Amino acid sequence: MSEQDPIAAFRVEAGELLDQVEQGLLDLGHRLDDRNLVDEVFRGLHTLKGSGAMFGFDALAAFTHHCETAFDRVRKGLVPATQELVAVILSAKDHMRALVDGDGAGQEAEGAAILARLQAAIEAAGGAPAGDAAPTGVAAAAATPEATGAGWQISFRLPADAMANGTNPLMLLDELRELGECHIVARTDAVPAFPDLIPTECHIGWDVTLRTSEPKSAIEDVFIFVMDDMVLTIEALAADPAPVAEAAPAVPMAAIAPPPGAVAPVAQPANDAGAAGRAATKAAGESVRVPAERLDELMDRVGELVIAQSRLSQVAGAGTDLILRSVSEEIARLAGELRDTMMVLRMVPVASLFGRFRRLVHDLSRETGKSIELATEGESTEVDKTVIERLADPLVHLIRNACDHGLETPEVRVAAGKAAVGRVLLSAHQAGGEVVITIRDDGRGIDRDRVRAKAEAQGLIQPGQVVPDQDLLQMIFHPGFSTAAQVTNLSGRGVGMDVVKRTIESLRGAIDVTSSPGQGSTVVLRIPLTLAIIDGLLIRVGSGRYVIPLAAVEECLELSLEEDLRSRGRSFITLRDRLVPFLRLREMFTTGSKPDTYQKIVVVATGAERVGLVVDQIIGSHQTVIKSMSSLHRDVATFAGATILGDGGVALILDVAQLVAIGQQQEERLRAAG
Amino acid sequence: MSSCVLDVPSSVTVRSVAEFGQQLATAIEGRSDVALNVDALQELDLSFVQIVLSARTHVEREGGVLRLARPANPAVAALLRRAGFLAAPDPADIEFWFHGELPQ
Repeated sequence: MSEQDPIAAFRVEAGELLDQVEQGLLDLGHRLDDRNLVDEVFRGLHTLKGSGAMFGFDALAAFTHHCETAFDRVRKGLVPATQELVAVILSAKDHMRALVDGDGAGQEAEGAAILARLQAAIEAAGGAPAGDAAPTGVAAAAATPEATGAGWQISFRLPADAMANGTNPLMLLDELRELGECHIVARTDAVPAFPDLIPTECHIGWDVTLRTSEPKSAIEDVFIFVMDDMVLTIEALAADPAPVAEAAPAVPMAAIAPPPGAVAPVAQPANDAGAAGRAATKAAGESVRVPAERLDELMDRVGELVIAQSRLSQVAGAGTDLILRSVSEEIARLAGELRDTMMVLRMVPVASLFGRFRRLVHDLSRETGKSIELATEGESTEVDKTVIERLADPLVHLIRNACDHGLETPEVRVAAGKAAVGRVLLSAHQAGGEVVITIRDDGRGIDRDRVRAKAEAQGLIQPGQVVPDQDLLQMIFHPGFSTAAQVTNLSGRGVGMDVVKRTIESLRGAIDVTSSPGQGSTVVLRIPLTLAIIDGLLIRVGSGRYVIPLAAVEECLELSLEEDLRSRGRSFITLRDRLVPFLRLREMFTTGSKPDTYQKIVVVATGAERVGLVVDQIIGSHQTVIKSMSSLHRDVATFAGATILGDGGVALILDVAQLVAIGQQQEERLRAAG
Repeated sequence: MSSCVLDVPSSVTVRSVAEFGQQLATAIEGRSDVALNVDALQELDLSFVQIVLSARTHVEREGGVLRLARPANPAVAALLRRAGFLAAPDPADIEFWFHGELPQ
């Protein structure tokens, strides 16, 4: 017996359905004549209505029914799809989501207002009351019977999860009855034996003899929202058939679950929809929906296992027991593989993140009167689900700012010799252990003079002070900066860009900004692929041990005593004809210990910037389970977190972006000093 | 081997059929004669009919009997008719649901 909460399952399914409806509507906004998109949206609304009623969401079902009825007129070609209609249905979709999440109490007025707008949009699009307008286009085609025989012999079996997903087979039978005289015989031959039956599944099939002049497409319409996953055969009846009651043989209800050895009759789908249904069913059977918190829980367990394995390795390594060492190595290998598998499980394509911005840009386009095209690239790039969740808000701010203030009005753009349609590009790609997300607009670019004026007014820089371009552009992320009256083209509406920066930094990420006057701005976010477990390089500085994320490590060098002495006061090394600043971690961390004779330099990089970290010893690679710092230590910028070592000790994880920034500042100071 | 009567609740739909299924499984476990009292059942859907049919076949294969304590009430009869179970019924089915007399 299955144990699932149908209401919770419905909410999840409805959420996905609404996402599909939204994507369909957004696409429809660009291709108003696309019949497939109209059908797709209609199917979504139809399914939602049926499911809602099935699971007791009466307010949702009633509201969706009105929307479906209105949209059905578009589907039948009685009313053309318009931008206004798409926009109203999008609003209606938002309302449906609220009804799915709540019980609809207190939301009646809002629903009524949307329906009034919907009615107005239908009328504005030239729609007459149902039944008055002569069918055209698709409707005209549908009105032409495809067969002039006596009717249809229909055999169907719904997907097993149809009832659980909210489809009521009785409603489908009623809809068939509305098409003409029906003789309906239920078939129970595929119902599993009681111990094997999942009660919420539907294994009953039907043979229906339908006397009608309606075309085949009218029957297919009845099954429109389950067509892809079901087995359906529709055959024309002979012109002079036997009486209806004799068309289908009696089938005992008890013909259930053939005894072992017997061959169960298998319904053979006679059309592509059936084949597609099989494929879809198969695909559905190969994936499992798992609550996110269970994945988090599993991740925690894997983290603990990695730590325990690390301790075992240490114990085994310290002893002489070869068998113990062999077992330890085996467990280390398995733990590593388990960790890798776990990490893959948590990876989600950024498409799920990018998808939601299409709606944002659509709404902004309508609000601002600008024509905006959102282009996306690299949607298949995968990132840890936690990162995805936390990236959503910063990206909303950045895209909103790019659309609101980066892009010009169509008139200004045309006057500047640009295309009237502004373009925002959202792209993602993986680079080493990071995902790089780029938000690029082709608008007016950041007004550096205004940024400088504001920065000077706020005392962030001195009047006339020479500030590197990147530093100047980074000013827009300063708290209180962007909320001021539209100083830069990336300024927000009360949402400071400092929030964006803070969120990205909390993800151990970094932000780069570039901008060309008149050509647009580019914001690049560099985020670690995962926040949970990383491969680290374990090092020692003084008596303390630290971890450097391995993805940031470029190379390791030896710093001889002579070089160390020679570089005092400069802290630069020459690496392949390029000066690289380095930081003496022993001094930064004031260990109070003497340096080892043979110190090492670990060269780390973020983007194009590099810095060397002088350490006493490189211990080796280490699978690092990241533990967040306590609130007391959260402001210590040099560290990104902590981890537990195999011997139970704690190692702090170095924040490479911060260290590189410190190195760059040191370099600037030394250059300025000549 | 013993017998029992299982009182079917007033509502058995896809939302509650799993729970009913467990009650039914408990009722038929180790018993040779189980009667379902469907008098109170008013809200039902296909999931009820399906699970009863499946259980009936299972019990009969085990050598027992699953039956209705009294003929199906109008709500059950209406659903059977609407779902196409009464269009060409087998006599055994009429006996099971209506104790031999198909309602008009």
